[in-house]
Amino acid sequence: MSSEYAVRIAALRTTASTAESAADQIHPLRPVDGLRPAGAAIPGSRSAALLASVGSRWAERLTSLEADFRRHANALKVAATQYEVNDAEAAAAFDASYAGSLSSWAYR
Amino acid sequence: MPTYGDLRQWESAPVEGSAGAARGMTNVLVSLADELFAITVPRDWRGSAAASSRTSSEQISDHLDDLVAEMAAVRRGLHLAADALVGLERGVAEVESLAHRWQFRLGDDGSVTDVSGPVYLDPDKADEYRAERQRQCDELVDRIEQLMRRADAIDHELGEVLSAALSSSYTVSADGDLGEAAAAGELAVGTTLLPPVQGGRPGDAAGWWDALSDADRARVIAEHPDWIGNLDGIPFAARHEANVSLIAHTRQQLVAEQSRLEADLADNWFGGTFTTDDAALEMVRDKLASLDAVERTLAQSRPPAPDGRMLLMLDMSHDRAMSAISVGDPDRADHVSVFTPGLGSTVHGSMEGYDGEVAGVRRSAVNELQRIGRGSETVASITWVGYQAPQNRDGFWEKLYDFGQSEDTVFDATSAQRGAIRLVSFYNGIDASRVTDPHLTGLGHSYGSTTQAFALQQSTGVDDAVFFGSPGFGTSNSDDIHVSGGRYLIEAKWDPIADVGHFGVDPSHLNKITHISSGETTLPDGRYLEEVTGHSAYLKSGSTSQYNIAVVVAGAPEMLVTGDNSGFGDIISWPLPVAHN
Repeated sequence: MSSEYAVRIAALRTTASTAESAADQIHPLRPVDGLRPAGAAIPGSRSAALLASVGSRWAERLTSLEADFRRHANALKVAATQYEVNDAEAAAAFDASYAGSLSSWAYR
Repeated sequence: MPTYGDLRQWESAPVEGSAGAARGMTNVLVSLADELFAITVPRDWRGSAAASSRTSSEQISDHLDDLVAEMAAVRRGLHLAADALVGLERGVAEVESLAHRWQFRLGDDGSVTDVSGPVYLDPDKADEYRAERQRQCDELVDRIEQLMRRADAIDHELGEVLSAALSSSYTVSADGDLGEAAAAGELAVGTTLLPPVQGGRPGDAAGWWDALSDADRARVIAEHPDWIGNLDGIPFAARHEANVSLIAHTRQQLVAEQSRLEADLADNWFGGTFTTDDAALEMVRDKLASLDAVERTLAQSRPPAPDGRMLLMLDMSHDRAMSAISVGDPDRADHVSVFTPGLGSTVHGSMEGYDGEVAGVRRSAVNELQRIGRGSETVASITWVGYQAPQNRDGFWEKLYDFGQSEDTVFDATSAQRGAIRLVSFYNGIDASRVTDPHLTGLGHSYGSTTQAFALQQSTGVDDAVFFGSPGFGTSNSDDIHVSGGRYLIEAKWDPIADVGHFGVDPSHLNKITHISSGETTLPDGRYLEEVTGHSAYLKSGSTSQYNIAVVVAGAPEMLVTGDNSGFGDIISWPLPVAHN
């Protein structure tokens, strides 16, 4: 694991919101409803039954995809927050450390 | 397996609607391409978390690629199925319309039941009526079979696409290029053209063609013209297009075969003495000459001219070329005639001449229709050299051999019987390929009239038949000749062939045959028509015989000039005893 990193926290938040937008666009898709008319229009066929299965499969996959986008968005937000916290802590630690140095230098 | 009752409910529009829904969903996913690009790791982000995020976004991208490809494939499959269903709907509507018009009931199980009820039948026409009902029933059965076959093919193709989707067969490596993924999915789905059934009847071909979508029909003509060029039951406009497109390729094949045979003969010290190469070369040369004759005939006029020529058949699969060319449009004409020539007929030697004579008959028929105020009715006249007519052979010994042995001779009925099988199919194909049956007339000359007579002993849909210069009907009972209208005979003076009665008795002596004149006459309107004599002038322009043939073709028997022109030959050909029908 690399011990080096660089990040622009604002970019992470923007990316997270893009992923959420993608999830939002997927959310209203209703493949079962979309394929149902075709199945009903060819009664007695093997394809009618298969269309229902394909509709269900797509619904599951879209749900999963939507969830993936949302998970990805959440992860980015968590990372951004963590970076912010880390940065703040690092800054504080830095400041604390740096200020101590200055003090010792200043008082030397 | 769907039933015919299911097919009645099949609809293309909802399937196309679902294809649209699939397209809409695919488009939404494809439009996420920008988002997908954006959620990949920001450029400045490096480190362990960035690596994890990259892995996550790549997985999303892969899933999206596959789903987009799958949806695009299913969309394409649905669209193709909807397109095919348009043809199927048309086929179902056509068979339902025919059943209604012909008074048959179609069961959900595909059964065909005659519901016409009791009818009074003229005893003389009872056989024709029953044969016609059977022909109609057979056509409905054949059409339903083809609709079921087509439905099964549509279901199979769509089912394959859907099964592939369910088994994740549309995975792609598009690296997040969702447009590429969609294209790959679409490309993965195609249609296989369903060929016509082998050895089927014209009703099978008509049912198959009716159930094809317009796109599939265009593909058949472009990719498989050989499927339909000679297939009875297919509309003639499509056959014409297919056959014309085959001429160049057929010529190439024949030229190559000619070169091969010439090279073989040149390499052989004995020439063709000990092989059949010289005879084969002669046949190939005749076939090439046949193509020339066909092209010259077609060049005289083309559709949509009223007398436009259409190439209805082009068959090189036998020793001699076979072809049929119409003057006028047999798909739409009110009156259609089919002329079957006799001894010595070939495409290369006879087509142009017969076409000219048949065009003359058509012209006369159109003129007579105009004279009697039926000028809006249209006529198409076909020259059918669709069988291996026996050939004249030179030399005494060849003729003697022909008389005793060969089947390819005017002395033997085999050519006529074989030709009749093809002619029956051709006749039935005319009715099967059309929404409404035309008034159909068979015209048979010489040995061709015997071929025609053998054909008319089957169920053909022919309404009227004219036999001229006939050596016999292959039966001595005129009731065997099944037509719904009239049986007409023309015999010119000094036509020895018309008196030989070689195939059954001399038709001059049969009852229930209307004898129409070939002698000179003046019509009530003052027109003079000349007599023809001998065996080969029946179609001569301005003659009584041609006029008579034309008015039969026009469905105007009230205008006929009746009367026979029997001569000495008829006296000596009188059968003993004379009890023939």
